[in-house]
Amino acid sequence: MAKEQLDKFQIIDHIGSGHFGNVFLCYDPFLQKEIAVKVIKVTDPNKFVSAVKEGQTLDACRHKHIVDVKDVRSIIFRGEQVVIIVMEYLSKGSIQKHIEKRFITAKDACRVIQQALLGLEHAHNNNVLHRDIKPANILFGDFDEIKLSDFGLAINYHVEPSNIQGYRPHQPLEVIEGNPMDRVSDIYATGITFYRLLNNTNKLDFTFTTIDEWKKAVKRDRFPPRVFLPHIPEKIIKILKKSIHKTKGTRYQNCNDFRQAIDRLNFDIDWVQVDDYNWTGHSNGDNYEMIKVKKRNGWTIDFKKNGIRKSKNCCKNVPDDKVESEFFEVIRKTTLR
Amino acid sequence: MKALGFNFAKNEFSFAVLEKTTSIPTIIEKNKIILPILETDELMEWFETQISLIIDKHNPDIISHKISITISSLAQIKSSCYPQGILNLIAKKKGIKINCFSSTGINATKFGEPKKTDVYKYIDPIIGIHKPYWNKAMKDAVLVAWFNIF
Repeated sequence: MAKEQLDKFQIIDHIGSGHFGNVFLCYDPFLQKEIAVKVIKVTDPNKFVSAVKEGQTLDACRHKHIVDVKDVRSIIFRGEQVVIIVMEYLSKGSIQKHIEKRFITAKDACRVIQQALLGLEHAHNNNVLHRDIKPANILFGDFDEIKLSDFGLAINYHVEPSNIQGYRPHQPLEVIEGNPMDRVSDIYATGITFYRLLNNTNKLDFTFTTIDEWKKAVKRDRFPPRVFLPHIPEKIIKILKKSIHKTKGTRYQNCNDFRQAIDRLNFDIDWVQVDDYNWTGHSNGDNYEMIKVKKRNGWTIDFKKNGIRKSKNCCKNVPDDKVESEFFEVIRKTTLR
Repeated sequence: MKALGFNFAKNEFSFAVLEKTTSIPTIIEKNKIILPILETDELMEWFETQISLIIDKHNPDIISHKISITISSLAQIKSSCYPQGILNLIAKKKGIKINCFSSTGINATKFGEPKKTDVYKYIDPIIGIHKPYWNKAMKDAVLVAWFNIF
């Protein structure tokens, strides 16, 4: 069966739906490579300019940590006038997909956020807000470099008054209260993304029925709940808490400050959860293992470096109520130097 | 006329953006950036990204940096010398003029003062005190930029 054409491209697959349109994986027969094409329906000719805005925004914000736009133009597709944005195709997908499939280590989470903040800082320097930072909009490049995508809600904030859009669970208190989004609300959304990566949380449980209920939960630090996986070191939690602080003035005020706080962390062992009883880690070419085993006199916790038991971080006869805290204490203290 | 000055040290670098509108330049932005702990190749990529962000933000007419002539360790070569090469390459690619000053070249004679005058104290009453990080490292970044916009 002949593949459907989208302008000069052949549609291979439907990748997803972004703001105002669908994204297709296409094949460019001239350049002989895969590309991503976002199709935006333009029902009102007067809205043509706003339809191409995302493409213009991406073009103005060219950066190695922002998805590269190749072309923007208007065509007829399936009998309708549409605007297409031709972008590089990143086959490794979004960090959202990775959260669903694998364990994201504390080091991984920090690296993703560091690089996303580099892209976001470039956008902010060009007076562009992203307004929709979330794991689904952070993609992996061919060399695992991070790229921000979906600038469908981005606006030039020196030109237009901002309004409230974006992914609701990632909105800070001041935006819920009706204030316009700004750089610091992008910082908050990045902080919530950091929270989800560190906690390996695919979705935030957003079940509020009224704005007041939601506002109250954010005000009281109940949304998102300040509960963190036990392997995350305190220094990282401190950075995370500052990035999602309910008080705007207490948060990091710009991308550089947020990123520099992460830059200062000195990582040692990159721990990965294998199952409830085993963790493995790597650092400078050495392999580590943490194992807990239930024995007659309580739990035994073994810490091994390259297969050799290191007694300094091992424990014996640990009671049931202490085993988790003892186990994760070692993981936390060896994650950072 | 806008000038951007850099001073690379072992664990951090300082930069200052100066603009001349009157006889005394204005400091538009200055900051100290802590270097992350990364492998050498990753650190070089980080320098390229970080330096480009600063240059793209301010689009200066000229860039200047303090040149390191008293390097004594491999760590200093990586954190101080290599980024100066990266900075020169970025400036070339962006078509921005670039020059450098050694520590001996950073002195009060540029202001018409005797060489023995402490240039770091001399500039405070002229350009003001800009805390935080208003130290010798930062003043070197300010001075190398300033020397280009007399």
